[in-house]
Amino acid sequence: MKRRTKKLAAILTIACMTLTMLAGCGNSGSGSTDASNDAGNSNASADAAAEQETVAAVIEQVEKDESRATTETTGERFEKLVVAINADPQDLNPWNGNSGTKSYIYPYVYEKLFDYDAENYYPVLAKGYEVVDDYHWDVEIYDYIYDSAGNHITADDVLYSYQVQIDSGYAVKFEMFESIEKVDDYTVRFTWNKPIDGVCELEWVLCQIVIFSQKAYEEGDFAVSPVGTGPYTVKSFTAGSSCVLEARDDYWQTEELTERGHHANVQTLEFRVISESAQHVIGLQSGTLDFSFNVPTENLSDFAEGGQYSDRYNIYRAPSGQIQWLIGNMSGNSIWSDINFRLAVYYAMNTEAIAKVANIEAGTALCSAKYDNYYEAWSQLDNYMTNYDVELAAEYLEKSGYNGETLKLLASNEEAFKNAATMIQSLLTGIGVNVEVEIMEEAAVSACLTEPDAYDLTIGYCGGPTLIGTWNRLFNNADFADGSCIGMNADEKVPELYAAANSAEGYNMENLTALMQYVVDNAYCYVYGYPSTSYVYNNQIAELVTNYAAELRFGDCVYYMD
Amino acid sequence: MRKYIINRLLWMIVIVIATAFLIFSILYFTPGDPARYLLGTTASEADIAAKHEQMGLNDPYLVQLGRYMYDTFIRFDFGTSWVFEVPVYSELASRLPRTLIIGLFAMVLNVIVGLSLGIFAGTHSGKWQDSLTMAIAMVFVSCPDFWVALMMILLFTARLGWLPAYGIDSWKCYIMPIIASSLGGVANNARQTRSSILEVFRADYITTARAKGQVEKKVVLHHMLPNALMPIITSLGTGLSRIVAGSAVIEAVFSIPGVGQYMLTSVNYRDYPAVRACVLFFAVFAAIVMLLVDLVYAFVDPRIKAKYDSGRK
Amino acid sequence: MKTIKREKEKEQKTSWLAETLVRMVKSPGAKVGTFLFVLMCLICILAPVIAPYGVNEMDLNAMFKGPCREHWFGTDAMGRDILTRLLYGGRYSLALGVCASLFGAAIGIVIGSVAGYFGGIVETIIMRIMDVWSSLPSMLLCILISSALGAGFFNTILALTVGGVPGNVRMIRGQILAERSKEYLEAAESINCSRVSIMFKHLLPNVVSPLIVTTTMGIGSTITTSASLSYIGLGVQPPTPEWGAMLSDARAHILNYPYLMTFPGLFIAVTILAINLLGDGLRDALDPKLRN
Repeated sequence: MKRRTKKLAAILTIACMTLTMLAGCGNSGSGSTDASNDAGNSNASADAAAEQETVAAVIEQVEKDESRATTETTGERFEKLVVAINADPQDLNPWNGNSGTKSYIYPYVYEKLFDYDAENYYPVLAKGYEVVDDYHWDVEIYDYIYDSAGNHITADDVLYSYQVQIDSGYAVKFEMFESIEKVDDYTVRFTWNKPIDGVCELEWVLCQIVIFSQKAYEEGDFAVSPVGTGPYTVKSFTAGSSCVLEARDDYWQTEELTERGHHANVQTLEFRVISESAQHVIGLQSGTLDFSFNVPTENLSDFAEGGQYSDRYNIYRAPSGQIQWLIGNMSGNSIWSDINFRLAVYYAMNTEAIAKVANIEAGTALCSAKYDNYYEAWSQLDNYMTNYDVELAAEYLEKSGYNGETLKLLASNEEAFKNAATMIQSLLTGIGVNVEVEIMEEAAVSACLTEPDAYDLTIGYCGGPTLIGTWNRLFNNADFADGSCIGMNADEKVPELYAAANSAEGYNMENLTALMQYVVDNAYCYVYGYPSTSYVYNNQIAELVTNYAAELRFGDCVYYMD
Repeated sequence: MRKYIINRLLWMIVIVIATAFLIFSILYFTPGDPARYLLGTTASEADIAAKHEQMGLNDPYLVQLGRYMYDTFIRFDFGTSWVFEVPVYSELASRLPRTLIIGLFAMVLNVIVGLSLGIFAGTHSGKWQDSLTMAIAMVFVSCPDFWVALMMILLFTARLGWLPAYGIDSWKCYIMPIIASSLGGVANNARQTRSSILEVFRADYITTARAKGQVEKKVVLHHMLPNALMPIITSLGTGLSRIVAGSAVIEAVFSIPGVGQYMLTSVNYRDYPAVRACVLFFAVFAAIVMLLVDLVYAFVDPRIKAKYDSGRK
Repeated sequence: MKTIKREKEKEQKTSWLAETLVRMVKSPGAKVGTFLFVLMCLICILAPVIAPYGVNEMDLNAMFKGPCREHWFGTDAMGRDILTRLLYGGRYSLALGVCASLFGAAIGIVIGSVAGYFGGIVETIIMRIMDVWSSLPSMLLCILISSALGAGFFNTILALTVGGVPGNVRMIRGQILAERSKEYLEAAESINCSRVSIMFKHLLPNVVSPLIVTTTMGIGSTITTSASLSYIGLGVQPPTPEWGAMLSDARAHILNYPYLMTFPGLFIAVTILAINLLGDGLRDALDPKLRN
């Protein structure tokens, strides 16, 4: 009897193996528009690459059909939109310390004094600002602001809101901020400790601090049931699962004065937490989701023109100003402080290959071409950003003091960075530099940046509303507590050049080019690519609309109503 | 008997307290500064020092330990999450039912299916039914549960479209997680039951019962099962705590916001109050299960009963 | 007299081993299990020789290729050959399983035999500590330790080892308690053998059979646990090709390229099946009740 059991077990296993294998193979062949369709075919990969490119190239939004009734023409609200997000927002407190998926939700509930874009501050709660002198600005707010609980917002609430957020430790980039005081019931005065001359310098002070009622905050629990002045209120919030927002009928601002980013064209807006991106695809296919930021690239073709779900969905690739970079640890007499070694590493980088595995656009300059003040010439320069030269790398390596030690490359645990790190490791192994990859949580990686012994090389990303803002993290020494630039780079010329280019009058091509040239000449930084986000959305959305800071706002989008 | 129960209860409390101490100490000596995690690289040394003070991280180990023990066991307060500033208690309370639903239903499946398969195989010992059941059990014991879960998603959601693969919106969402987390246990249990049955099969009292002319069904239910039950109870107990402890992985696969997911998120954010509360919850759960197992044991096993009833310890 | 006894013991030992082997060979399940397990070990050890590609060799023109002639099990998101990575990955997975359960057993032997042999207050203290230690299910303990130490190969071994100790201690102590009451120990004690020598010469050999069985089975469950850890990102990290880490890498691609998920899972399942069959076979072969 034993004998038979075991034999059967063996046979069953083999049967199972065969079955699952068949399932695996069969499935990969069944996706009709899919690359692996004809895996045996040698042209497959080329086809796949071509196909992926066409998908990636969809930057233009699908045109709105003017003949159909929309939220614009009828003035009614679209009933319900379900949006998938890939991580738990955890709480709804009126600040965003961890810049996670909470940033998708809380702008609908809370409002700030101003919105911003690259150059301007747009009034929201504020009517506008008045520059009293170099050190003082007066801001007057509307006198009819009511939050969703009916509380009237006055200057006292503004002061209270600032105080709460300063105390919470999440009021960052407040270097120029001295104090805020009340002038009258609807006016507050900001005092600066230096003249304000930077590009969008007050983004954080004026545009990232949420205003709420003192009474509501003290009585309620904003973490789970916030009370804000925004066009939506929280109907239900289940941590880790979903957050349902409901449009307010008693929104305080009048229709004519409502700014971009503060409309409510959808009645019910539901955010659903689904951590696995593959499951976003399943949800879209089955129709339980209307929108996803996280559909894997390989699945995009199913939703694009000609794909099997294109009858219900559109896709749009949102350009982003983000850059992804590779830098090293310059502290003490680390190997990275040797310019020959830096050049060796950077010349060994095959930008195309890294960008391909990280699934982003290959980098050619230190910034993305998204911004208006980007100059084509920057990507034509002859340097390691545009050249992949293994021989040159070997030459520099010869001249450097590298003696075969194993370097630690730190990367965050997102797939794009894991893959990029693996590729960088393999490229460096190619020129004889030993690298071990260490994967950590993103927060842990950034906590390591100022630790001299924690890493030798690291990759990461940064972005911002302006071209110069993108570089804040890389070249502004105010961004790190130790007063040096990223990677513990103590070269003071970098922040100097940065400051020059970041001032209101110095924000021009010459200064930007000077900074870029200096950084590249010294091989301080290497950008391997520009990521972008692809949206897959229900084609009931007629037009995707963003706020001034180019963030998508579902409340402002236009919807078909037929 | 009462003495035994009280004894066992007291011991459970001691274990839970010692476990809390263990968790606290492991996390305390973990390298990495939680304040730095919270504030990021922008924060200056002064900011971090201030945050330390606010979080109570500047106190010596013993003071922190004492405060933690006092809060947890006297005030029953698990503190507030460092990262997300929500009381850990309320978060746990809202997530607990989801983890328990999966755990308990998986357990029910475990008992019903595992026992019946085991009895079926055991009573058909030597026939093809036995071999087939055991072969299947062997295969399922060998498959990692999260992999089975993923394969189920592929089949039932992606291919057939029968079941939702994520979320907690309807009862349907729980079907796959429950099955996936019970399969290994069912298979294990079936194997255990079968071998227990076979063990008592040849025992003298069964032969006697048969010799008396008892109906076969009665022999199985009245004589064999109770005696075969002991090792089965033990394996059920460990099975239940394994299901709940393994919930982190299954919940991750199915995007279920349960206690396991909460623990993993908190681990990643170095959110120690939340980690401590979650781990402690699992430990208490395991301790209660073990207690129940021991009590059932005591009721079933006349030896333990006799030992305590006679007043000897 | 001593020499005679030694010889006798020796004779017994060889026959014990021989008998076990004979019985193993007779059992088909054990044969299949041993064969599969040895095969797995061999192909993983010989990975550099038999693998068709380099472990981190990327072919950007062959990303996401389904199973085909050049790539039997297909390629992943970076154009790496899955078969190759599975073979290399097996080295990590098997090493994790074997090392962690061996270390666990070794520590278990020391602590367990001390507890079992000395008894009294020593035993009580040790067993109480074990109670606390095992109050956390081993998966949880592993999560906690991995998060404290940070992810990585050696840290994962350590975490898994720690998780396995209490079970072994309990088992050894139980066996020793059962053996302790037997007569030959009294005999040994009466001729003034030292306690330590009694423990190692007389007690341990008798508790070794169940230890072999649990350790073998332990390899299987340790491989599963380490794969789960890697899957949730706390175990071995990519680009190390551990099987669980490969599964973790594949999760975003499950819909279009399910083979990325299927093959690593199958390798894990087959390995554990082999180990379980082997363990079952060993248990039957070593079971004194079934002997003779």
